[in-house]
Amino acid sequence: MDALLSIRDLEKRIDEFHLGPLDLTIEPGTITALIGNNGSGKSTLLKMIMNLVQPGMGNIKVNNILVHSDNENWKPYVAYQPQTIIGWDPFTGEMLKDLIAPLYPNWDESLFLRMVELFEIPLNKKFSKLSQGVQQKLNLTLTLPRNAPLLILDEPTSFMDIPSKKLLIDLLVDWMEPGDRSIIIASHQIDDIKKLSDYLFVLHNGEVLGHFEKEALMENYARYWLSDSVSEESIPGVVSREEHVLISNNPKETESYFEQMNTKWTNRSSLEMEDIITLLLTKNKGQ
Amino acid sequence: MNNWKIAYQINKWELKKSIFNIMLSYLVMLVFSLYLAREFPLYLESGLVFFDLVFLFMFGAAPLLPKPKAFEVQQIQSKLFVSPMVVLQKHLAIKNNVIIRSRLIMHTLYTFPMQLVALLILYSTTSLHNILSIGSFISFGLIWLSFSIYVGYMVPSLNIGVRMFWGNNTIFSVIFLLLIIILLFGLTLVHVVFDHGIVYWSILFARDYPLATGGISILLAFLGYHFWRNSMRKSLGRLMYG
Repeated sequence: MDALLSIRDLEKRIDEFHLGPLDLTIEPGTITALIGNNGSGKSTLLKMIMNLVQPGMGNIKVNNILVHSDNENWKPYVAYQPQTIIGWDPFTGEMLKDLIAPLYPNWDESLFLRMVELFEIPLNKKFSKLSQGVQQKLNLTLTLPRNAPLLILDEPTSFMDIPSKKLLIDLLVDWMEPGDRSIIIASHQIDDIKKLSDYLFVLHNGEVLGHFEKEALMENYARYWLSDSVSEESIPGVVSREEHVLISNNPKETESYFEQMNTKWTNRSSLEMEDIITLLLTKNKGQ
Repeated sequence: MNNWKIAYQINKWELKKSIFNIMLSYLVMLVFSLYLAREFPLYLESGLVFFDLVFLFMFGAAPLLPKPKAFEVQQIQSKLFVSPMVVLQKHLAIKNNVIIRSRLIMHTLYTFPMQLVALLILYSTTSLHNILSIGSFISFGLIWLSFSIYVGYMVPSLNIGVRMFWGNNTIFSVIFLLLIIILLFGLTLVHVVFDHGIVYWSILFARDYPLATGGISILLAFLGYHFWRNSMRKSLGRLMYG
C-alpha cells in the first residue's frame, strides 16, 4: 500500500529556530507518536503537514499529492486537531457539527453520537462556555468521525480527566480497526504513547533524533546492576552509568563486553518507556 | 457542489451570529445616506469635504464597522492579524478558493444592499434625478459600486490575514488614524484644486460620458476583483496560520 504521508528533506527556519532536515513516511495502519521537548518543532511539523506553515525546503505529500502546491485535493484525506482552537468560540457543538460534517465524505454520524454520549458533551452550549477539558473532548468528537485516512492529533489529552483519556484510547484503537488509517499524535502524555503508538518519531530542538519502532526500542534498552564497580573506560552501548547501575541501548554488545571482561551483573531489567524517552531527550541536551 | 455554494454553506452560522451587526451596519449606513441626501444641495453649491469622506466611507470602508468580536480581525500571533473564522476554515478540508469566496459573501452582505439603497435614496430624494437620466444614474452607480470592489475588497483581504511589521493593536489604530488624516487632506486638495469634490466630478462624468464611465467602471471592478482574489490567494499560501 502507498504511504499516506511522505516527507522528504523538510526544513524550516523561524527566527532562531531551525527544524530539520527531516524525512518521515507514514504507512497505513500505523500510529506514530511525535515526541520531543517543548519547542522541539512538533507543532510546527504538524502545521506544515496541514499547509498552515510553508516549509523552507523539501516537500510533503499526502496520499501522493504535494501539500504545498495548487492541488488541494489532499485536504479531505487529513483530519487535524490543533493544540489551540481558534474561531470556535461563538458556536455551539451542534453548529460546529453542521459546519464540519458535510466537508468530509466519510463522516461517521453514529461515531459522533457515541462520542457525544461517552464524553457527556452538551452540544447546545457555546464553545467558549465549555471548560478546557470539555472543549478538548468536543474537538476530538468533531475530528475522529471525519474518518479521514490520516488523523493528526496535537496534544489531544492535555486537559482531559483520567477516565476520558482511557475512553479516548479505546476509541482510537477501535478507529484503527479497518487497517487503512493512520494516526500521528504529538503528546507529552506517556500513557498515550505507551498504549497507542507503533512508532516514535523523536525531535530535539528541531533535530531528528530518530524514528523508532516502539517494541524494538523497548528491547534495545536494558538496565544492569553490577556486583562490582567498573572502570571509567567506555563500555559499548552504555548511555548512562551511576555507580553500579548501567543503562545500555545495545544490550548484546554490552553483555559481550561484560563477558570478555568477566564482569558480573546481579540483575538486568528492561526500561520503562518514560525512562527511554528521557534518556533520548536528555542525552542531546548539550548538543 | 460549486465553490460559491460551499462558501455559503460554511458561512451559514457566521451569518446567523452576525445578523445584529449586519442590521446595525445597515442602520449606520442609512443614517449616512440620509445625511448625504440632506447635504446634497449644499454640496453641489459650495462643496463639502465631509460629504466626500462619508461617501467614500460608505463605498470603500463600510464593512470596517464593528463585527461580532469573534469574527473581527484580530492579532492571533505575534505579527499576524486575521479573522478567527479564516483560521477555523484553514484547519478544515476547505479549499482556499472557497475560503476567499466565503469572505467575499460576508463582505457583500454587509455592504451591497445598503450601498444600493443609498444610491437610490440619493437619486429619488434629491435634485440628482434632474441632473442624471436613468442611464447616467446607472453609470454613476457603477462608478461607486465598482469602487466598492477595487477599494472595498481591501477589507475581506484584511480578513484573510496580514502580517504586520509590528505586533501591537495600538500601532494599528494609530496608522489607521493617520490614513484618515491623509485621506482628508487629499479630499481637501481635490476641492481646492478642482473647485469641487470627487462625488461631484463622478456625477459630471456619468452625465457627460455614461457609456465610457460605465465601461471603465466595469473594467476596474473586474480588474479589482481579480487583483484582490489573487492577493488573498497568495496570503492564504504564504501566511503562517498556526
